[in-house]
Amino acid sequence: MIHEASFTAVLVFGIFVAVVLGISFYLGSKAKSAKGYYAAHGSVHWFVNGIAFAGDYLSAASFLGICGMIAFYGYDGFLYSIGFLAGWIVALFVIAEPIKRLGKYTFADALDSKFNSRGIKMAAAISTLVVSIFYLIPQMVGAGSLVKPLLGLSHAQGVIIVGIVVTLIVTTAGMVSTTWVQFIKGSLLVVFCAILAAAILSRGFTTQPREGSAPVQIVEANDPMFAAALPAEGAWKDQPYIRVIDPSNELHPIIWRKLEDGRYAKAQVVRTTTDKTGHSITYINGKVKGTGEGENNLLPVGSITKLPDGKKETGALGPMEFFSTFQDSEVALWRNQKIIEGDTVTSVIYYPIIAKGADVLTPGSHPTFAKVRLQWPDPITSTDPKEIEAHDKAKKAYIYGKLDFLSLMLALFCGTASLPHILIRYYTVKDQASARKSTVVGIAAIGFFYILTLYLGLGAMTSGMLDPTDTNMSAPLLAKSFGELPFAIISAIAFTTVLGTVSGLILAASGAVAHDIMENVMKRQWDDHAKVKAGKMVAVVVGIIAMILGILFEKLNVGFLVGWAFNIAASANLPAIIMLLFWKGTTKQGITVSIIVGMISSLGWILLSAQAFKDVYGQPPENAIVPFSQPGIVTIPLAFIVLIVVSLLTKGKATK
Amino acid sequence: MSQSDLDTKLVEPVEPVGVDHEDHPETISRNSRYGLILFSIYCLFYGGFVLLSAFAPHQMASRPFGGANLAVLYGAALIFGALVLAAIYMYLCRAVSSGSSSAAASAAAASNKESSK
Repeated sequence: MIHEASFTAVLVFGIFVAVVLGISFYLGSKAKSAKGYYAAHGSVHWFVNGIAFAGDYLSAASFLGICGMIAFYGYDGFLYSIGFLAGWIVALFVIAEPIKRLGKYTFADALDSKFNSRGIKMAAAISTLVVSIFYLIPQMVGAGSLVKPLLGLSHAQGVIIVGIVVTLIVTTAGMVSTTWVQFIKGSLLVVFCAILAAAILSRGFTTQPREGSAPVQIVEANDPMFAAALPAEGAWKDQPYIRVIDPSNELHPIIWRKLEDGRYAKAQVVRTTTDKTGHSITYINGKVKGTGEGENNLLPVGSITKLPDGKKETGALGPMEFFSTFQDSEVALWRNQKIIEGDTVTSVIYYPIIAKGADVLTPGSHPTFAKVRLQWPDPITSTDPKEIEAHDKAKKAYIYGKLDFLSLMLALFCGTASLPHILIRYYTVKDQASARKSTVVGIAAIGFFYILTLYLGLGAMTSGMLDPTDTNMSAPLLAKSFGELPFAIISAIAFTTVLGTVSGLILAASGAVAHDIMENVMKRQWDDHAKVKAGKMVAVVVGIIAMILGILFEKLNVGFLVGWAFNIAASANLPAIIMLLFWKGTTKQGITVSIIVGMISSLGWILLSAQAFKDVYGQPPENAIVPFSQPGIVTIPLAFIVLIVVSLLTKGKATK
Repeated sequence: MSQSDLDTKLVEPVEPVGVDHEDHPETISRNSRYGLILFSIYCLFYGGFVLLSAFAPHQMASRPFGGANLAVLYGAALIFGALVLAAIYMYLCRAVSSGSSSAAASAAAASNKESSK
């Protein structure tokens, strides 16, 4: 879909970002020492720090990813909201205070405070680096999705702009300015999303399609026009489509997709043809892609097709009424399928499905979560080997499906408290009491925001503004349905969100390399100035890596990507932190090995999973080596066991 | 908040007063005991949600109060519940530490006043 930039939007956006960066540079110029750079002198006020927690945490994933997932698939996006928030309970009740007592600048310092071991420092620093980079990918992908509709730029250009700006912020500022950026942006994000949610409630639902949005056209299977359908040949064989010649445009047939109830819905078609010289042309709904005369652009989608009691519109709705009305309505959700028609022609078909509101508002409508709706297969009496095999397969699908879901919910729960960029925020306040108060403020702001995501997501789903090619753009496009100004403001906030989160992450990563590896492991003797300089050099390198990965992972929903980062963080870091705090028998070898095993096993699992095969390598998911996609339920306990076993084996040596 | 306010807060030196009272081993173990109890309560609550979603998703579609379905209500309750438990925890810990050191309490009060203006 092509998005055109609007002057007002760009202007508001530009001013907003410039002000935030100005504040950041101004405040950052005051921080010169290493403690100032990494820990903001330990003097940030607890309330500011609490909102900054919210700013750090409500990243592109929360805002763009969760809203997008709810807008396209309903309740399943909210599962991430719940898991992300629940993780704070682990952080507050178990981790926050001890970590504050132990640490200095970085997570590795905290883990190593009892042992002074190079091994721990090295392992913790590497895991910080890996988790930060994995968490950076979705932020960068989110940045690309944001700039596309706003400035009319490509995904790659968006990613590069964010990368450069962030690297600038981090290299000129440090923790003081990131704290203030996060504070400002955290407050703005929550306030503006609340306004947006209120606007959604007062608009209510309507079955009247939005002007310029894709109409939902559905016909019976015996419609007379299908008599002249093209034969289902080649790539179209056994596919749920009927192609009908358009007399005015014979090269591009109109495509109808079969729905579950047997009727057919008219699809939007993106068709790319490549000639012998490698030159390719993209046609949209039969015309060349573009916004000029005689050209076509994909139409925005998302609408309510039926309201309860045959109403045409509801008017303003209460916060609870919103859900009960939605449950009794029907919505058009857009899905897509790629059909490769030969070496030179590829079609992507975007088609609506009609879903019941009640169904959309329960877990299991997203393909990733669909397995929660699987039933244990009925016992069979047949002795036919084929049927037995199918039965076994169904049983396996059931078990692995449930495990995958449990594993994700476990990783989300355990992941928050293991994220290095969240942990370093505990060092920016002056004592444990402040750490505690900060966390409570953070939970309040974050929890409130997560409740809003459900309204924003469903509001976007029915706004008639969604881009069917990109789930991540849903939240800004929802704002656009209220006008250019809200769109510019929300985009600017989302953009600073990305900036803030990315700078926090790059800071954590640079701290890991410069402070933990170079200074403490390689024993470089540096003065404060050199230390900060080294940190900034690392920040630049990490920034570049993040830009490259952000471009590569364009197609994945950012919420999903963050889920993976949580798996790695929880597997590598949580067992080490918990055991260090609660088991006296923990040895330094135990911690080191557990971090490394947790990190490598979870990372390896993800890279070998069906999801990675399908979305990253473009391979058939059946070839995947591990049985389900989310590693947490295996790798978190594994890291605990490894830690205990290694600690028991090395105990004698440690106390000699 | 004005620019000068930001300045004072950032250059303000770390106060030595508020630091030590929290380090009494007694306070530490009491706080962490409260933390673990509240943590277990939340675990059960969250675990219930996850198991229900995984093994009885049709239950999640039921509407216990006629309006929004169980999935929405339980999810929202988990979010509010986290905040309520967090507030309880803060209250419990504060009750203990303000009794143990009046100097710390007054320092905290002073810093609260500072922030509210």
